[in-house]
Amino acid sequence: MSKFSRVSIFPVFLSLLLTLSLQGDAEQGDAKEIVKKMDELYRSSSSFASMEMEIITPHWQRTLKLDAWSLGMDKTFIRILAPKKERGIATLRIDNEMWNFLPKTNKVMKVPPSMMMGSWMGSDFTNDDLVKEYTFLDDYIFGFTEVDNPRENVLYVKCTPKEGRPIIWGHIIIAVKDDSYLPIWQKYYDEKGKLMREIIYKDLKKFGTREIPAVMELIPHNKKGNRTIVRYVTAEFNIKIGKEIFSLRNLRSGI
Amino acid sequence: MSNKMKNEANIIVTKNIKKNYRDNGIEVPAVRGIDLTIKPGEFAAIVGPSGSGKTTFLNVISGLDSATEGKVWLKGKLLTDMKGKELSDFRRDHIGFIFQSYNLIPVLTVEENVEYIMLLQGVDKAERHRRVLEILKEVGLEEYADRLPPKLSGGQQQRVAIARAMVSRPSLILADEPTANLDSKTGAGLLDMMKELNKKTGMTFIFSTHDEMVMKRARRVITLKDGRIAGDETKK
Amino acid sequence: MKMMVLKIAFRNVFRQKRRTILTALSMFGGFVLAAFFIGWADGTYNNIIDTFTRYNLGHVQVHEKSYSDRPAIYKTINNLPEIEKVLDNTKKITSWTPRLFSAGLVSVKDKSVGTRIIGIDPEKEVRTTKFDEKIVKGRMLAKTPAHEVVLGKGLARILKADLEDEIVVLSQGADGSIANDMYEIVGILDSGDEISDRASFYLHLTDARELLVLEGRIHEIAVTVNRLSDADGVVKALREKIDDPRLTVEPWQVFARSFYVAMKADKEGMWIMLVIIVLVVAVGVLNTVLMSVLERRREYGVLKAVGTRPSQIIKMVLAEVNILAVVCILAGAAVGLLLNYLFSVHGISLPEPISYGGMKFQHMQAEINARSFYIPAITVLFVATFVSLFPAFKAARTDPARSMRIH
Ligand SMILES: Nc1ncnc2c1ncn2[C@@H]1O[C@H](COP(=O)(O)OP(=O)(O)O)[C@@H](O)[C@H]1O
Ligand SMILES: [Mg+2]
Repeated sequence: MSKFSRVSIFPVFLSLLLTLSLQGDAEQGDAKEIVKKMDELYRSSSSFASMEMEIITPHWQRTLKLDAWSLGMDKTFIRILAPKKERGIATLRIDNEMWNFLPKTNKVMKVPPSMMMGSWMGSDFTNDDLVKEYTFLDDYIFGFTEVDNPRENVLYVKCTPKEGRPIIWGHIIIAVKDDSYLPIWQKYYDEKGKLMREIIYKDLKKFGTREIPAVMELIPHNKKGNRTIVRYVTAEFNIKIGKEIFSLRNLRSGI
Repeated sequence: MSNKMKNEANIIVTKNIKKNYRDNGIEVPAVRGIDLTIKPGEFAAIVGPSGSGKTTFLNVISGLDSATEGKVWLKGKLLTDMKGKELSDFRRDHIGFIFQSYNLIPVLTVEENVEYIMLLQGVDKAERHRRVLEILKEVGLEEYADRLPPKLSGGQQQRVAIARAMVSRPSLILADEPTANLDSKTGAGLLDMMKELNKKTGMTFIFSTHDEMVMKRARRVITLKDGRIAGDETKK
Repeated sequence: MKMMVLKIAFRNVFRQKRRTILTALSMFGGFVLAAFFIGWADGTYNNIIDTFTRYNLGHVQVHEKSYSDRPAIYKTINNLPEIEKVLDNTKKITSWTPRLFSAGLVSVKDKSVGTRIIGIDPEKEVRTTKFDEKIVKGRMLAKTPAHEVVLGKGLARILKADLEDEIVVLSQGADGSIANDMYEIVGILDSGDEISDRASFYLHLTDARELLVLEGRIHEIAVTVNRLSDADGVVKALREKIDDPRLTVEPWQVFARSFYVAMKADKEGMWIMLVIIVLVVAVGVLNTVLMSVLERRREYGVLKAVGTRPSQIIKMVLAEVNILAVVCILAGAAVGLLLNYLFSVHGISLPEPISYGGMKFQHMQAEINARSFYIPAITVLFVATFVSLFPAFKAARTDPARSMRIH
């Protein structure tokens, strides 16, 4: 189920991977079975995507253009292409470590564990969302659940963290189409059952052979007026990506 | 003579005075019914063995202690009805006290001790000074005016007490065993002085004693026994 | 008669020398202890408050009105030149300095950590909070922006950073842009506030504005006033003169509320000391006065027999105690003054600094103030009088007839 977690967590790949896995030959079965199959499927995947990230706050609004690569579940590389001021800033994540490259100073800066809950490049995603290597399948217990005003042809899966896992959510509810398993939304609740944030998936679009939601909107409910929207411009899956992309040397090399 | 007139003509009139003390819940009769009349200018001794009720009787007629029963008129005023401030002011203005011992305030000089009551009465300074000197001369202690009481002999201290009792010119001087702590000779001398002052000023003196030498000097001797009058003799 | 009452009271004081000395010692000792303790506590607390306010936060602060509750980069003061005029024309203000705050990630070599970014105007900051005196290594920022930073001591330790090292800062501009730049470390700071020093670095206001895209704007104006007690007046004056509903002016008691509350609670501890003094004085006085009164029952009997009022006897007893109390207070004041003077001039440097509310203090000293004399004086007088009331009433109620029978 790591894809689930990743969907929630890392906007870029996660949704892709999630979709990917959900589209796979998951059989009907209980929630965990589905999740497990997706997880296995995911592990062999790699991807490249070109996207826009629009960040909206009450005080400003801006759009970043990004290229993102992923390999396995533990490597991610993102480079900002625009706007001009940020051009060349890059983030490398390997397992649960993360580095930023700042071309203005020509320095690589490691993100300390204490900053993991901090915002990634001013968006509503946290560094943690990108980094945390959730062993989602291991960390959560899954089950179908009921929601208020359920929609037809939608399955609702409730993910509850197992005891003792370092997870900040009380539980997560994922809504997927019952035929395609494509995600519709994901809602994150705190321990008291209060909705903290949600991700909405929109705009089905075909990339290569796969049809996935091309827009993903993150709404943090504890920050009024804030939103982050990710739009996929291009995406490729299961492609060959050289390991050297995910290295500090590549990070430093700039555009 | 009506009762009222009779009471006014006398310094003290008592009627059926009784005084019981409560001792561990038991009523102890100390005075068991005394009727007595003292005229102005008398020099009277109340005698009787120890425990016969002398002190109790003197305390009751001066208002220092309340009677259990009976009435006391002092200069025609019903003392047994007075209370608190009225009683205390009346006592201050009409009765001079001489106690057996420790009469004086040890931190005040002879002069100040004598002056004290006049201060309470609000007598002005010059008058106070004049009267203090006069009375100290009278008791032969003018040279000791600045002494503190502990520096005086017992006899001298009692003379200061006489001076203090007399200085505000009360109508009645009450002295409870004034010579008890003095040797016979000194005691007799003190009595002679009191008698002299009685004659000279006309103030009424009532004193208690169980000393023969002292008794002999009284003009009237009232004998108490078990709280009752057992004898009342006046010398011719 | 009043004179006579006083005379008797006064002479009675000297009657039982040993007993009087004992009573006097308890009152004198209690007074000196209390005077010294209060002077000491006040001195130390004021020192702490001064360190906290005058040399760090300021006595009065101006902010955007919701900044204190929920700080955010865009809650800024935008009309500094106008406010500057007001500040310069307000009495009792010693100095003021503008500041700009944000948070970000910093790294030196391969160490990185999240910190507070504080932009300061070097000249004004030095004038206002003696910032330069707190620099324990290196130097103050240059007066003109030169891409330099001063690091809190704790932060330098965490980053294993030293002078001349390069420090990279990653934050977010007020326009949402990714702010990043590199500076040179020129100084290490020990402000006394350990918590702050562990998580702050300082750079020139102009550099900070450029980094955070806050041209012409600041988050805070820290104002110091001539005397701590002037703060409220200055707040009032500024509130009237600064004609901007977006801004708020607060005294240190508000913006350093938890510190102020802790300080106040701590000062309450003084009352424990006073209670101890009260007990010492009370026991000493009650014991001796009660003994005296019992011993003098015959005298009170005689006084009452000859017509002294109970109230006059009460006055006599109370006057006696109070005469002694006044003498003890005068003597105690002299000794207390000397002690507090000595300790206000010299003070004591602790071998190990103590930490208070995250601030370090190594120097303790007394202060000479009226409080440390009138509080113990009133306490001693009140306790002595109060405790003597019972014996005094007992004396006043002496039954002359009964007292005469005591031999
Ligand atoms: N306060 C008292 N309580 C109980 N008994 C008392 C008290 N005072 C006096 N008496 C008793 O009253 C009696 C009279 O005593 P008192 O008047 O002192 O006699 P005197 O002066 O002739 O010696 C005695 O038996 C004495 O014990
Ligand atoms: Mg007797």
